[in-house]
Amino acid sequence: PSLPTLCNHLSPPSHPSLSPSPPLPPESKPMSAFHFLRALSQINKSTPKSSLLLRSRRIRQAAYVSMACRAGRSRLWSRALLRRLQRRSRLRYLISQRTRAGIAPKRLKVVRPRSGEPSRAEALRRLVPGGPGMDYCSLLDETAHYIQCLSSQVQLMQKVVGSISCETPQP
Amino acid sequence: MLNMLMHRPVSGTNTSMATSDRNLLDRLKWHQPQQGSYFTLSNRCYANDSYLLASCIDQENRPTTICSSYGKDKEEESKQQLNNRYTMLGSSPLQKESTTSASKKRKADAFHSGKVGCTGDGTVLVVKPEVENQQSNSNDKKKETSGENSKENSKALAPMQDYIHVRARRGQATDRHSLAERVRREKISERMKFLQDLVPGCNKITGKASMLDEIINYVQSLQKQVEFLSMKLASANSTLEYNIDEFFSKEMDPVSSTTCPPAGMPCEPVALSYLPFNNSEQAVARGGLDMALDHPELALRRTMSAPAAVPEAFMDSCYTVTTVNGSSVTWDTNMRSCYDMMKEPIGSFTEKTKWLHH
Repeated sequence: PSLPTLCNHLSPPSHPSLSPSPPLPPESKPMSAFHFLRALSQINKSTPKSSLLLRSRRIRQAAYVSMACRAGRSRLWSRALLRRLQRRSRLRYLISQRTRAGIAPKRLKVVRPRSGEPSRAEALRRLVPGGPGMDYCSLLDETAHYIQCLSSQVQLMQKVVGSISCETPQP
Repeated sequence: MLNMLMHRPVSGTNTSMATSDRNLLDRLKWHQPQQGSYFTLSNRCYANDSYLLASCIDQENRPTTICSSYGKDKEEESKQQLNNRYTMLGSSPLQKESTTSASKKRKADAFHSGKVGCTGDGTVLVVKPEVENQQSNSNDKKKETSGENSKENSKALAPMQDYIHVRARRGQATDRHSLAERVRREKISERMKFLQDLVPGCNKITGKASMLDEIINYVQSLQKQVEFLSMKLASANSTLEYNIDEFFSKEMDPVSSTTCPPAGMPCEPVALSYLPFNNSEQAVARGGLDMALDHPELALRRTMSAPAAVPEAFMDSCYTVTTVNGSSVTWDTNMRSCYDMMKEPIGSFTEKTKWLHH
């Protein structure tokens, strides 16, 4: 039913007027928290209260999107994440022509697994978004950044949950 | 035995170093003179302030040092470290020091004659101490070879700025593939170290496979945590509007007190960023996420529906926190009204959470 929440959320990097996306300001941490919370309230308003699963999925997507937007377009994993989510939402909703024209999808060349790297690297590739296209060196690099962003996002969400659970007064 | 000393500031900004191996191979020039072989590979990704010092010591006390330092202030430090390595080896540091300075001078001369642009702010230092008895005569030969090499290299790589000099040990493979492989392994181990610092509980683990396992587990746990938290938020969403303001007041307080206070100016963009509730141009100018697009909808909601106090309270709280730091009177009253509005959803929420917990 709701086109606006996620699609709007996904649109900014692909806006033709905004590209190339401006570098993130130093105060981007509260800003991304702000974006995430706005997306939350949007989801809350738009999706029906009954379907818990749908809402949790949307919230998860919003969390990932705000994380990727904070990381910026220079990171491989954030680009891959945004592209994946956008493709998914493209299938699900109708997106305006402008948005579709905005991103020129960059092809990730698929590197065959090296003989020298450990076998567990494949598992890591599957976990990190955009991992299959990276070589091992940049995979480790992106993993480090991804872990940082993910943990800060988890902290943010924990804070929100904590503020909700402890501030809820008993009626 | 290969002993590596890596002194590089590990930071998130230094990630442009991640060039692919093919790229590296293309930039790798190799020469094989009679005395030894110098390899110059240029990597412009090393920033000027970062430097790399790696010393390889084999078992027969024959030190071979790869050292390239950028920035004149780092030079003394690296020399000091070289001396430390030598004293650890038990050989006389003074002699090595002389070799160091001599070869440095040679290198500098060579670069001057070769018109390399990197002499401006970075000095490149190559040390190649030989076996002690043939030191004097080998120095002369080396002088020639290094001069030749750097000339050729400078001809080939004139636009390049920064250099890494890699010197193969005796007995090590010197073709370009194995050299590139060695550089790649260095990078990987460096990143592994960084990841080790990042992942909790990874410090005690030795071995790359188990470390990778740990990293994978950590990433998985983080992703699961995001999933779980989003479930929790989905179940608790009905009270969210109530909490957003409060959360923001909490969030903004440390920000405005830690980062902003001396100037006072940086507060304003933060405060302005909340304006898009009223002003859609601001959102477009800031490149914000989706404010411009769903702003009309919000406005509609505000005018039509009963809980109109929510966005206003939100705005007011933001303004009081960011602009007037001390006064929270209006904020309190707004929170009261907000709380009154949200009473029924809270009730339903607690029921839901009870259902969830059981």
